[in-house]
Amino acid sequence: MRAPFAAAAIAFAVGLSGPAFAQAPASAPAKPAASAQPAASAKPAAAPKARDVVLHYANQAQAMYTNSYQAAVAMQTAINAFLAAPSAETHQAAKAAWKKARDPYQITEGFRFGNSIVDEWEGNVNAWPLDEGLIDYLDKSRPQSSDENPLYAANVIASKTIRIGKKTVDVSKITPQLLHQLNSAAGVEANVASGWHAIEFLLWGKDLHGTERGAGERPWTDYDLKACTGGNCDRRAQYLKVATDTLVADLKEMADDWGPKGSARAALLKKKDKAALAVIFTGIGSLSYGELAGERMKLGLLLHDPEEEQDCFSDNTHNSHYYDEVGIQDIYYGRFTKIDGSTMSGPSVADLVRAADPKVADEIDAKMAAALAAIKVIKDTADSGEMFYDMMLAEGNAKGNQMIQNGVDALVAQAHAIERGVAVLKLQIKVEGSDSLDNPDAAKKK
Amino acid sequence: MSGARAALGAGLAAAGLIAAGSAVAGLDALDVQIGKALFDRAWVVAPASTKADDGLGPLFDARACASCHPRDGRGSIHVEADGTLEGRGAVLALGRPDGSGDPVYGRRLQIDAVQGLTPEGVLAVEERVLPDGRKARVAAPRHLAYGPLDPATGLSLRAAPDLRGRGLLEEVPEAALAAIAAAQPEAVRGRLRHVTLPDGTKALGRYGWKASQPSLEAQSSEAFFLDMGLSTPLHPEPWGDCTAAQEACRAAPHGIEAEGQVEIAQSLLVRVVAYVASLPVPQPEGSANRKGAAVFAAAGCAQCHQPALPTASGGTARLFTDLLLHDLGPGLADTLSEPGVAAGEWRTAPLAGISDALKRKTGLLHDGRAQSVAEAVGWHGGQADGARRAFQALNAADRAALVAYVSSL
Ligand code: HEC
Ligand code: HEC
Repeated sequence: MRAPFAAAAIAFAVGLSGPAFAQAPASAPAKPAASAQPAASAKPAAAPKARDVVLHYANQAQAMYTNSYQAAVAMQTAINAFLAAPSAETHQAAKAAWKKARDPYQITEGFRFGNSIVDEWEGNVNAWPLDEGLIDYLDKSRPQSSDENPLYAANVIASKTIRIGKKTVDVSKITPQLLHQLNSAAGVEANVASGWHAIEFLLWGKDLHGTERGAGERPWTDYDLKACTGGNCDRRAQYLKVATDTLVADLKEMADDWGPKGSARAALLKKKDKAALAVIFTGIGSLSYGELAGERMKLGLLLHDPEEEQDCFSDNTHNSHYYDEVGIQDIYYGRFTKIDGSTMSGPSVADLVRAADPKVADEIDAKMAAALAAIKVIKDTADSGEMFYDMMLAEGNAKGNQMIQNGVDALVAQAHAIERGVAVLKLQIKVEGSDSLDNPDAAKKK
Repeated sequence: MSGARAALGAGLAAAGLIAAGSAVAGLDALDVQIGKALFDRAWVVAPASTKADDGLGPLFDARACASCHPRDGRGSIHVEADGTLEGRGAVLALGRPDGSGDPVYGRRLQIDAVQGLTPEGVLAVEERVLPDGRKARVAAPRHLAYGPLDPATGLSLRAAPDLRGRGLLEEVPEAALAAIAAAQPEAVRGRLRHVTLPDGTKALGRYGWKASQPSLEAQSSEAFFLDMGLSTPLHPEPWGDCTAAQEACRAAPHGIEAEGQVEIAQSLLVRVVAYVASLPVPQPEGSANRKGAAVFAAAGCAQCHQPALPTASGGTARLFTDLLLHDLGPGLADTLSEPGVAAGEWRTAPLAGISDALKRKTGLLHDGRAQSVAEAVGWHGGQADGARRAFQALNAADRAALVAYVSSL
């Protein structure tokens, strides 16, 4: 779990009149945007009203979380079917449903930073790393673990009570409240017991392949009440059901928080125009830079750790990174495609930047297209079965390492371009991590 | 650091916007950001899927740096009605006069443990009523799970300090501190503390309530090791603070998979350190309070709480400390003796960031016993006795100005 962004975010003031901006002719004609951004190119250069941009952003957040919620409901249906009649096929269908529901969630991640209500909620839904040993057995074949070792047996699925600090928590009944309590019992102290990764672990199990090919290989019989493997199949089934229901309910809550009477919408709309626009940029800038480029990609590369990847049990990380980037652009351009194929679009911060400084707008378009392309290489390579993200991270895999490094570089460049967009709109933002941290001139130079 | 960068850093540091120590050789802002993620990260128990994240414990006080230093700030010490402490943010340090830890409990009383293992105890305090009626706080841990403490073991309850701007403490030249000590009047003169490093050499102690750690790296390394049970290159034993007497603890799974490995590699440690070093000095709240600053100086507070220290790069560290040990008398003394440091000796606590501590009601002083600036000053004895008396003799207006000034820092 991470501390709310606002806490440790490093404030820096933009509004620099750097040479790059001074040179841009104020009357430059709006150049058509890169073909990847049809929404932007279709827009005339006249700026929409800031308030309309903010309103559209709130509407889009509501629509995107609703979309994610609906996708999760489909996953819930598949998981319920699996639990009702466990088999290799229903297990496979449940796993496929998880992956399918994951992408619509990932595209919402750009809302998290900047909106503290989202950031605080996120811990229950997507927290990482996961203390899976708290939930279920890990690997019974691991050499130094013995079945007698009480440390391996102490998990929620196998136990009646769990101790957190000086408190003993009764886990005999697995309920949504219990999972939330385990997540937040003592702030950062608690283990992660719910959310996407808990469900992922319950479906796939631990990936024991390291940086070799392969994902988690939990057998479907871990849920077979008649010929149970792994022990406590009834408790495991109950856990999976409750964790799924909890996630679905949490997503619904966030969709409602952005609804007409929602608290996230209200918190945003309460702000003055500039402060509200700053929230939008803070979200996409922070996700691009500190979160995705830094914590999720560069850190893994540094450690060559096969599981320093978000979706480590399912080997789905290439998709989770890719859809994060898709979401960044959806928010910037004010458009997105729902799971039913229908689309939505409206006034966006991209329009504001284009009206203020077409050159900077072109640059952002270009950097965004490049970032998407760099991550698409990772996605396509994984989708083709050539190598998965955990294999790309492996020490000595020059080709894989380079792909990830290219992704990092492209995301950093994108973040800097976004900063320049912020500067032309004369906003003040808090981006998680930024060159501006130790070199405020960086945003001007590149 | 290039010349231009150094100058820029120093300029910003002078403006108080950013810690000059932020640019650690070879690391860029993205590394600092990774450091932040690691600072905030809740480490997990081995063996987890996230190999690089596991190895927590077996005994630990907290899972994350951020749980004791919330939002890089100071940890709260909340005493419940029954005397036990709620939450994280304080540690109970243990030690014997020869510098070793307790033979069974080690150097920390860890309040948490991996599932299946019993935590060492529960933190609690009692009040010791002094002859003048003031109530000193005394650590009195409960539910000791591994038998009684050694009779020679001393206890020291310590709050997790605010970390913002503290990277600069490393940048202050020793000579400047020695000059400050020399200039202090005899009655308040502090002293530099030199600590012995693992390789036998000596270095100036700068970090911790008793200046027992020479650098951010040493302090962070110790935190990983003692407070989270994660081994580092400076502390390679994977079992953290489990002593030989705690067999189950030593035998518990850990995050090391090969000989010579540590749970927190140097590459991680340097990034965490770079992050802490990058935290800017907290800015005083409100508008300048010249009167309060003048009274602060006149009462003698600024002798120890030096408003600014020079840094090696030519900037200033506006932290309100002199980094020297001062004897503040028996009222603040606890029972832990560190070799070469008296029980009543403490490093002048940096006051920068105190406004945040007051707002969050964390408690002041090393064990959080004071709830206000005036109360904290009330505990100043020994070398600070003169300042305390000067403070208490102030007329109401001057005293209010001083308190407002300190409370805004
Ligand atoms: C269990 C609570 C706890 C955790 C976890 C913790 N700290 Fe601390 N920290 C403290 C306490 C208590 C002190 C004061 C220590 C002393 O005086 O001996 C301290 C002191 C420090 C200081 C010195 C500050 C000063 O003003 O001298 C730094 C720097 C620091 N911690 C960094 C870290 C880092 C980095 C981490 C994570 C690797 C961390 N801490 C984890 C409790 C904690
Ligand atoms: C002789 C040196 C000295 C002088 C003079 C002095 N202090 Fe202190 N001060 C210290 C030390 C050492 C501590 C830490 C003591 C502890 O926590 O046990 C401290 C702690 C404090 C604290 C609590 C800080 C924290 O982080 O919890 C405050 C507030 C404070 N001093 C204010 C003052 C004021 C106001 C004056 C002047 C009236 C003053 N001090 C004079 C040495 C001094």
